Amino acid sequence: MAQVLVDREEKIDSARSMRQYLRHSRWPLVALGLLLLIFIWRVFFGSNQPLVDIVSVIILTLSFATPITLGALSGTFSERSGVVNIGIEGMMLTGAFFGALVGALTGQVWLGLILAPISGMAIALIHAVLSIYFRVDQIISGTVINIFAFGLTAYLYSLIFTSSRRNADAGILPSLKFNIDAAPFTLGLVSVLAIALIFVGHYILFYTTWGLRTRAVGENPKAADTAGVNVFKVRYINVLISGFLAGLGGTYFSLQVVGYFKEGMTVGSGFIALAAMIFGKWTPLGAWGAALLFGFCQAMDSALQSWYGQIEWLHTFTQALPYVVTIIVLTGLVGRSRPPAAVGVPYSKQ
Amino acid sequence: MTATTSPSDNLIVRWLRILMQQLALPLLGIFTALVLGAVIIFISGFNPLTAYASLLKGAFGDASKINNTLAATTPYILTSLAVIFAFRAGLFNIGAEGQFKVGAIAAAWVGINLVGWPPFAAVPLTLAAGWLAGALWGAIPGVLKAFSGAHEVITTIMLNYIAGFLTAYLVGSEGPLRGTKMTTTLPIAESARIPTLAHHDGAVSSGSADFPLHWGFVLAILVAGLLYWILWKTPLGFEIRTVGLNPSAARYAGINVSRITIISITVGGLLAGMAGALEVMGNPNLNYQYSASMGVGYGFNSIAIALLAKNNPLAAIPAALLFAALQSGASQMQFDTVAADGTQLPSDLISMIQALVIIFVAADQVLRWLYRMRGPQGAQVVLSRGWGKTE
Repeated sequence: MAQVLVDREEKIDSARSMRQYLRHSRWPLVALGLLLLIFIWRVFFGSNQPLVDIVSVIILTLSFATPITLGALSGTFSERSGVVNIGIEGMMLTGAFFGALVGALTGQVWLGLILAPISGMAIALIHAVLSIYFRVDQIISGTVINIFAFGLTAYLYSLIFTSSRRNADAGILPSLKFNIDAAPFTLGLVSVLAIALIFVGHYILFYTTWGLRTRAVGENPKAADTAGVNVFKVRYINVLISGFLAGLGGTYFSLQVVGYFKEGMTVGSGFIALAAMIFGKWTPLGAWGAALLFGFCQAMDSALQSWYGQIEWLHTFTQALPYVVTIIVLTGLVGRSRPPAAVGVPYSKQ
Repeated sequence: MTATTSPSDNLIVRWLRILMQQLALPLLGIFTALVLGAVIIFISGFNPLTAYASLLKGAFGDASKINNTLAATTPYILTSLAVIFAFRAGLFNIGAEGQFKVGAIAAAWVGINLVGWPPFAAVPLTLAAGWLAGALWGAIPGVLKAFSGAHEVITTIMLNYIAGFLTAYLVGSEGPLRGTKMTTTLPIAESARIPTLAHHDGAVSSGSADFPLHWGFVLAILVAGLLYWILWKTPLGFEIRTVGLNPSAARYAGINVSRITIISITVGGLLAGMAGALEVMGNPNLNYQYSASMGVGYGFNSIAIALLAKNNPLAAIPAALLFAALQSGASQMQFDTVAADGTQLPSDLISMIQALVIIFVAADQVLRWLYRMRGPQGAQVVLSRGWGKTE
């Protein structure tokens, strides 16, 4: 009798968790459905290379998702340790600029790739000091970071390049190249790095002591402190990791796509990344999934344009789509996905 | 306020003392930011004194420049009030830019279609279009926040981009509202325009015969006063401030937090929409039409102004003036400040100074640490309560 009851409860439990799983991970179904739709559309409207079309949309998705992936991973590390980071946009912009700066001044694009994450860490340090040491409201601190980074990069850019007419060409990072059905495809180095880092991030957060400490500090800093974890140190380092990843994300814009810096070139990716982080429930893999969804929306805009030319209203619609999706995602999911308990609360030993 | 205030002081002295106490920190913050800015200018190889002198000259050098600065102040007052009003309820409205844009384009759309209407009907209708559009755009994040907990920081930023795409489409190559040129609408009807405050006396070299300063400036100042009155002298204001300081306590006290959330950010949107409408209706330099470049950058600048004003509606007026002055003086500064090798000081320096001002004024913990001052007293609005509904 008792055994039967237990069995039944387990069944109900597993059914519930399955349902929950499906509800929470509708995005792959949505993405798959859309992909199928394009496929059918393309087939009916005359494409002779359906495989090429699908692969090109996948590659475009992975490319467009790159900065959002890195930004969302950046946010995940910071917020898992309890520090809200809305300065990701600014950190990305900083990385984009300093990567391009070093690339242009030294002619070594690799040096740019190395320095960009370091510059992201430098600006993240400001956020860390403001929000951890000075206990400034983290939203305000992040906003300050965004405004400051915008001003700093624009100022240095005009100072170093515009007035002196110095060559701002930073060079472009190499890409992975392959052929499918005789059609050439490329996937940028930063995009490949982003995918790798997602798995590294997942491993660190969930399978290492450091990850356990990070999550403990984000959930209950007092308990972690009592257990001997240095809350401040964990938070500082995680915010720096966050800056590192955001800075690397910035290089996608400057060193991977165009090879130079432009004022405000990150166009809100840092904020979309935050939404992806929330959508992904503060986990690296989830964040990646969400980033892919956003990347897919942008890929559609680009793919539709290259297939049918620019149709004004459709272009506007597909351009706005990632932003609309962000709002819908936040509205539908925030209540159900739970942030780390101590996020946004400055810690003080008392 | 403090122990030094004795009852024998008359009202004016007491007010002055309070004013001084309130002003001391922001002024110190601005001063510190300017000093740091001077260091940056010096390191970049320019003369800080020349830079600041030309900045001042560019902003207040003559009647025309003062007029330009005050005209630029007008929308900043209103958009920063949009931030302040929401902030008082604990909401961080980054959406002023989008609300400004939809307000401006709605006003343009209505204004264009009111040819032949008398001014006493055309002006209010056009302005109301701006209010309505801005309020609707502001209501979206308010409703989403109240019913699902979607954090307004992200939704308002997303709505800024959406407003940007939408308005760009409306005045784009196939846009239904585009005028004779792309990216602008037609000018609005003569009778829907707001008169300017002063004319050029001398010969007009270019552009309009009017200075850009219009009656909207006076209106903006009145609105600032009105908001101050609402926030501190009415039950609604009391509820808003209570929700901002402690939503849980407000809920226990029987205040409908959802209602306050929606009201505060909707009113914010209304104000930002009004700023956009006034720019279309009053500013002769913008040719009485909506253009795609309008409102860009207002979101973050108005936050900066709101933080500088310490979220006081009346303080928003001088804070907006400071930002407008920095901006309208920037080109003169760039032109006048030349290094030994002939390069000009980039006007983007202004955004760095603005960021420094916010760091020192909004995050006054840093300033207090710098000058070894005591900690703050009283309750503060907490924004970063995480991302979701915290019940």
